[in-house]
Amino acid sequence: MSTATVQATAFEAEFDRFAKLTADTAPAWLRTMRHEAFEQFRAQGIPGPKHEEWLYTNLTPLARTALPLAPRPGEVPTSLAAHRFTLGVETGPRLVFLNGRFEPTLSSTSGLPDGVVLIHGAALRDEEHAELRKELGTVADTSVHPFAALNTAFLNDGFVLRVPAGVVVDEPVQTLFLHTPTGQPVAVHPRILVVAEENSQVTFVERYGINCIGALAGGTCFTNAVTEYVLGQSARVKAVRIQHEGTSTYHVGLTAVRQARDSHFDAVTLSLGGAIDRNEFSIDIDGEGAECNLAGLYVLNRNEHVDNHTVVRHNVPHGRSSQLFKGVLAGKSHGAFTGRVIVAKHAQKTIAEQANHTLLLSDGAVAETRPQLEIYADDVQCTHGATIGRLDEEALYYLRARAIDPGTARNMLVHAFASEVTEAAGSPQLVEGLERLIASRLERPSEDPDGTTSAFRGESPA
Amino acid sequence: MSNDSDPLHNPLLSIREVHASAGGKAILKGLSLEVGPGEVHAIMGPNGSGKSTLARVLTGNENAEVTSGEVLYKGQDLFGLAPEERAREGLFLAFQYPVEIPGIANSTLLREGLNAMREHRGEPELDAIDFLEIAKAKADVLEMEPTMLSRAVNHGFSGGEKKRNEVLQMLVLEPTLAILDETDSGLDIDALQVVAKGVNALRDKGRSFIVITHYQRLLDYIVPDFVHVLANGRIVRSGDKDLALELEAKGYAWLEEGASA
Ligand SMILES: Nc1ncnc2c1ncn2[C@@H]1O[C@H](COP(=O)(O)OP(=O)(O)OP(=O)(O)O)[C@@H](O)[C@H]1O
Ligand SMILES: [Mg+2]
Repeated sequence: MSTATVQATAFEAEFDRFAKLTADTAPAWLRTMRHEAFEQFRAQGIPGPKHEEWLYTNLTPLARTALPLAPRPGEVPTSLAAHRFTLGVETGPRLVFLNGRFEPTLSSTSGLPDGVVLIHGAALRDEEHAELRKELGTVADTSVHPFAALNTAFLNDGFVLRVPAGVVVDEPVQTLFLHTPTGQPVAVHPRILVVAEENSQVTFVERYGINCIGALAGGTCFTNAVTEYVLGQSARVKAVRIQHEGTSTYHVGLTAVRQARDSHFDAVTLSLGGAIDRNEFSIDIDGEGAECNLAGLYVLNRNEHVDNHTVVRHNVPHGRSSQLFKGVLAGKSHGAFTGRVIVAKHAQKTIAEQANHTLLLSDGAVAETRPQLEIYADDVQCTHGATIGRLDEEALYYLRARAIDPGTARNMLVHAFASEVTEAAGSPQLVEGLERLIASRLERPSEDPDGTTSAFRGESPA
Repeated sequence: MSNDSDPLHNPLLSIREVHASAGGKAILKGLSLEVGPGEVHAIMGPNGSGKSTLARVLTGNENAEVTSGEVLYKGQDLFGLAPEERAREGLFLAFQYPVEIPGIANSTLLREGLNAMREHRGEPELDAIDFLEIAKAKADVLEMEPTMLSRAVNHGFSGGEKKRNEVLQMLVLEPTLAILDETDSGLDIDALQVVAKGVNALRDKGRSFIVITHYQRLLDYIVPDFVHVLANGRIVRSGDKDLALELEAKGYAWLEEGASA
């Protein structure tokens, strides 16, 4: 273990407890997988602030805090204010997890075309489903991602979505991870595998945390999510990821993607607050002609911290990738972006672009950007650009000269800045849903458990 | 001369000895002008003489700093009002250089603006459908494609399209006092007539215009009641529409000599 990491002793006791507790329900393959993963986690430790990959986010306090798995929710709500988390898409499949456990009463798997497989819980663990989950753990590299290793060590529930060759899933498949108040610090380790076989198409929405079952009162939550995507030849996947867990949550997310020839992976990721949010995309372009587009938006206030971290590996020629990450920072928030593009020696004709733009709404907010281009091929087009700016005063004046009050005018300009990202979601319904989320974040920050000020409207934060 | 005791003779706008600076440099140097209800005033003058600065001062742009003087608009202290309050009171500026705002649809800007005006007047908010009907009808007057409404504000518009878009905003917001800052620059001759038609459609007894232009040509279509020459931060000559013809023939030099003498 290098000096850049600390030992995560607090997790050892918890892992032993978990292993005993689930000894009866976990088949041999799963027990082995968990133990190997926990060893990998132990070997790596929790990365400290000197760790190259973790410069901006310090999670070492986790090493000292005992974080038991979130308990089974005491009370399951009978229904959720559906419009608040369906992004306006009311129909179609929807999977709800409460405190890390699949909640059948709030979920619906209707609307999936024939042949699409969705397994979770006991079914996922079942020996007979080995073929359906065979890619599980093959995309996220647990030997270099300590938290992915930790996630695998605690793998129990979670699910696999498998779209067979040629099948087009019209309606977005939506998942929602919610927490109920527990009064103590807890951890959840959501795990997802999405396999889109040859020529298939699917839109997959992951949403973490929303305050519709009460605030996350009394205790920190550590959400450690891993989502793996496997795209077969010419598959098309749209992935939407929304982190909205509130200011008492530490969120670490890894989205790991493997792309075969001519496949398209388009992701939109939204970070709407949280004490700490580290959001990583790890993409392997393994097939020629494959294309990957990542669009991210983070809207922060108070002391919130978001660290978007991308690694796109062009392992073959003729690949294409683009990254557009935009931050709106108010209060004393901190937004960081690290974008790494690695173009292998033989990956000629690669086109890779990357941009990170930040809008600072206060003097106390801090933006950091770190492009890392590692290009070993000589016939490629790789670009990157970054800007950090404030609201355009001339545009603000122009809107006011048209009778619009300054608060509304500011919000309109922030939306305008953000729209380039939300529009990447493609379907008008999803775009509208994302814009509504941002609007409520900008206009009613008090909906956050700790939200009290209107820093987004340009008033000075308390 | 205004007569303060008789509202009928009160000017809509009364600019009194205004001094203003921009970037630390004195630009307006004691400018006075009165505009009565229903009047059209043309302001001409050399580049850099302070015409746009006057427009900025009147609409509350912070880049123009008023150092002394006062402006009464509808009898109230204009400088006491924020830019949006001035707009709601019916003051409108068609910008010399309209601002491009990627990401905000033209129709969104217009609807937000119109509804803010309506709220101020105690009228109910217009819904998207009613609003669009109005906006499309106004666009039609200006021979603008309705698709211009869904495009981002001025973003990627040609010079002429931007100017036309300013006039569209004016038609939708129906101001009491409209300042047109070189709205004719960059317009082809057909567009000029269309824009003039738009302006003339708004003209009535209660509505006034300040038309800033370099070209007498515009004044053939929007016939002014008064023509003023702004040079070196002050009105140095006022006259009727024939003054514009004279300026076209002689330029400004003869006036500036007189002014500085
Ligand atoms: N922020 C600023 N800093 C310094 N000088 C400024 C600033 N803004 C305006 N000026 C100067 O003020 C003067 C008047 O500008 P203004 O835009 O009012 O001229 P104008 O009469 O409208 O000219 P034009 O006919 O070219 O449009 C110019 O010399 C301009 O350079
Ligand atoms: Mg000018």
